[in-house]
Amino acid sequence: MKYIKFLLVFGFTVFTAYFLDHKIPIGEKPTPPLGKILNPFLGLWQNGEGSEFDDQTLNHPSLKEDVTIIYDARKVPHIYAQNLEDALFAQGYVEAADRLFQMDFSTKATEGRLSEILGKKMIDFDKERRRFGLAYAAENAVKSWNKFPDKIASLQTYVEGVNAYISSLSPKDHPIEHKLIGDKPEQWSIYRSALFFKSMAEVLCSNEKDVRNTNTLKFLGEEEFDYLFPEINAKESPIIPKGTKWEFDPIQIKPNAETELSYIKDLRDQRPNEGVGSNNWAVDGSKTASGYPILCNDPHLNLTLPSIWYEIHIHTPEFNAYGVSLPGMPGVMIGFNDNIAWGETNVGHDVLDWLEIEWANEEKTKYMLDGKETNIEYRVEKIKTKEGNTVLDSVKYTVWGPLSHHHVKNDYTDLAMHWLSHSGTDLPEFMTFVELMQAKNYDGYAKALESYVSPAQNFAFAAKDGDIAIHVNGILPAKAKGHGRFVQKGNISESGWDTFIPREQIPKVLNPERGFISSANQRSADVDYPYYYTGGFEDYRGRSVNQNLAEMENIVVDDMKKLQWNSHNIKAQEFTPIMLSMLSSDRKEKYSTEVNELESWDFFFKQESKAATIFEIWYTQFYKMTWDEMYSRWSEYKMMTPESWRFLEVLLDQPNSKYFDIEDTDKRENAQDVLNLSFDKAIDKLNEIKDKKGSLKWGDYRKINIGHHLEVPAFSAIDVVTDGHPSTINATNWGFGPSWRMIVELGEQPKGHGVFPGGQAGNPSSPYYKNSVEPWSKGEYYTLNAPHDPKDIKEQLFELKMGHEK
Amino acid sequence: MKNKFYLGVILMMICSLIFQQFLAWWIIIPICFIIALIINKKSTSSFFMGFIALFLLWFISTIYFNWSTGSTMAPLLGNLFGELPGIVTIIVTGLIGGLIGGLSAMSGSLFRRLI
Repeated sequence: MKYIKFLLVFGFTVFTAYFLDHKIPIGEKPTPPLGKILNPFLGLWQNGEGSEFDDQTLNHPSLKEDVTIIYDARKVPHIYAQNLEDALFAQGYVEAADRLFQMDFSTKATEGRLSEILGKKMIDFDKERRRFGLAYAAENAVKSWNKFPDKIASLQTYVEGVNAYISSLSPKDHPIEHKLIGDKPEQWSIYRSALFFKSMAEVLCSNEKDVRNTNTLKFLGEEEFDYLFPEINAKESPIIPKGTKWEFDPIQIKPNAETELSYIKDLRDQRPNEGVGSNNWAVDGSKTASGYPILCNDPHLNLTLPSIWYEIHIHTPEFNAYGVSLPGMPGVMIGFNDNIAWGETNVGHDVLDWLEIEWANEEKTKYMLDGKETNIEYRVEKIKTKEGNTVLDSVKYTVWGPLSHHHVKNDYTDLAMHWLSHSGTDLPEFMTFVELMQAKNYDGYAKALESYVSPAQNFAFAAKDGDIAIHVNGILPAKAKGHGRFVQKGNISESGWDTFIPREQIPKVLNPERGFISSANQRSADVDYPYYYTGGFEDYRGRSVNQNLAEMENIVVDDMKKLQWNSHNIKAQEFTPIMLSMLSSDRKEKYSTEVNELESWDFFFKQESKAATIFEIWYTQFYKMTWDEMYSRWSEYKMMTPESWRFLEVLLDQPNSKYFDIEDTDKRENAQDVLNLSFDKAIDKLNEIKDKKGSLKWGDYRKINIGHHLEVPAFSAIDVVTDGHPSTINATNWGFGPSWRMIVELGEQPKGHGVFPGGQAGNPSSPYYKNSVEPWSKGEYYTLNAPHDPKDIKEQLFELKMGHEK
Repeated sequence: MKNKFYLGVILMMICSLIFQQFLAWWIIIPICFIIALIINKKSTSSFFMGFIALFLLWFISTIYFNWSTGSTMAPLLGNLFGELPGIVTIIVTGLIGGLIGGLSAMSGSLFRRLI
């Protein structure tokens, strides 16, 4: 009896303890290992972060001289170093101190290693990552960076700074999320910075429409395809002002290989990167009240918590830079120093092509290239799982790149990926944002841009001495007309690109007559630019920006704040009157409230606007019902639908064309019929919205979620209400928006203003984790102070003193 | 007799406090087990000895760690586990420590009967 009693109690003790130490899969959600994470001494209770900090010191052999870091009232670090290397060491350290989980987890995800952390359920995710070849791309980048031993030293000191922080941690100090998922931070390396570069390239320059274009062309035939999908929008306002002369001899480009078209069956989830885009502009002294240039930038990205950006101030005897950095890379991406300001938007040129593979044997180990059988090369990916297994995946590589969509089933097309960012280019691309911090004028800016590779960016520039400029910048293939717009033949080497537009021939402009430069992801230059390029370009924001800037005079910072907050929608302005004019009179009478809202609308997507919601719902229904012939075949073949500017032209030009016919009905509809039917559908939807959200106000309907990497609601900002629409300057949508708004007025002392929807800290318990979400949602800014003397930082949270250790 | 009980509580608290600084949380199992075995009280009062010791240690340390970091962690954990007030997560932490401490001490005292 005694034995049984002991065994029962002791067994129960061990069982309970085991249960509290492990994730137990009960039902859908595994219970967290409560004992582990609630353990007061090593668990989450050690991770709390308040607003009081102790001063810290660090001595490290990599440091040459003393570094002082002051954290200001918003926890922005102000680094005072004596030389560039020490400054970059400190940058690595402070970024890791605030954003370690973000840096560690996102690079592990890029590499395809989530199965190691989260278990075998992530195998498919990891396989997809590895077939996309981002680790391969990062390895190639490191190989070419190593060719610059004197420059890579800068990156190396950054890496040492990150590792100095990681090494200072004991397990109880590991980030909250690491503890929750049972992982620990890994040492940083140049390779991991390269992974970060490549994941940025994936977000910004892997967008393509090859498969969708090919299927659409096959479906419509050439004539109709050209009618519905012209590449040039006459109304567009390109980045380089129309009329700019191109004073150079373009290089010879080989003609495009003929492509025989067939439908491409592709299993990929085709995610158009809608919403990834940005605005930047600068005005020169002739347009400002102060007589000095003003530069503005707001990059639109997926909004996440912690934010992708980290605010930082770096001061050395040579330069004094302030702005935002991307934790994982040295330098200031968007910012200013005492003399200049800079900021980027994405270039939409297509630099990712798909090539259809012609197999030479049934086993798919050889493919045809220029009439010869060519062997596939294998890269064996070893995916470790948390459960302790290793899954092997042999990824096939062709001369083009990986067969990232290689299907077992025979009726799917095997496509090889040819992507600019896969291959190493012999340039020290990590230096651009380090050199921009040091640049003093236009020449310094232009020099810094020379090492930049990809993702290509429109670099806006303004200087205290009065210069403003914008360079479309990066490595861009020189393509023959139509090249890369469709899936290419993979069996002839002519399908590739082998020349690049010489950097000095890429569109750029210095001090244009109109007194301002700008970009908003539209086409780089007017039709007379001698090189062909295709891709994804935005048509409305650029027009809005340029219209506004052309009219503005005596500009002060507040005018720029209003312009970044501007939610006027040209698309709505163009469509609404036409849609209303075609609406039947009985509908106008029956739904007079909705119609009146639209008739009296100023076309602003403000949060209190009901018309904005009505337009958005109606337009979406109208669009989907018109292009039903493309949407209905989506499950079979992925296809394109026309851009909205072209849709408007078709609507005006051929309202009785077959495109407006609804396939599912016997009747032959025209534009007016579709418009009326879509209005009825919209009314139903609007009633649903009213029931669900309580009102039709745009802000109540369209709420923004800023999510955490692990999709934990407690670590996210949910239901953020704000103005804007993807087609407006204030380009917000459900999960994305201006990820950083910055305005810099140059002068004797530059005056910076900025805000991002997050906070400096990566620790979700910190008061600095999401403190800036609310000011951001209201269009408010913080003053960005970059004093030369640390004593001028008024409210100081704490000080971190670093020094050399022998 | 009473003094032995308090001595056990204090010993368990001190040993757990020391060893938990660098060892996994379940080190409290052998600690409570052995101390209860040595102290040699009835199984029920051993349970309370372990429970009180570890509940107090975990509860008080948690209040301290939470307070010393601006009381930010309790509300965050409350949110994480679903709209709970912060204090509940502190009490739950104490109860987990208490439960395992109590069960381990009880096991120790029952084991003493066997030898």
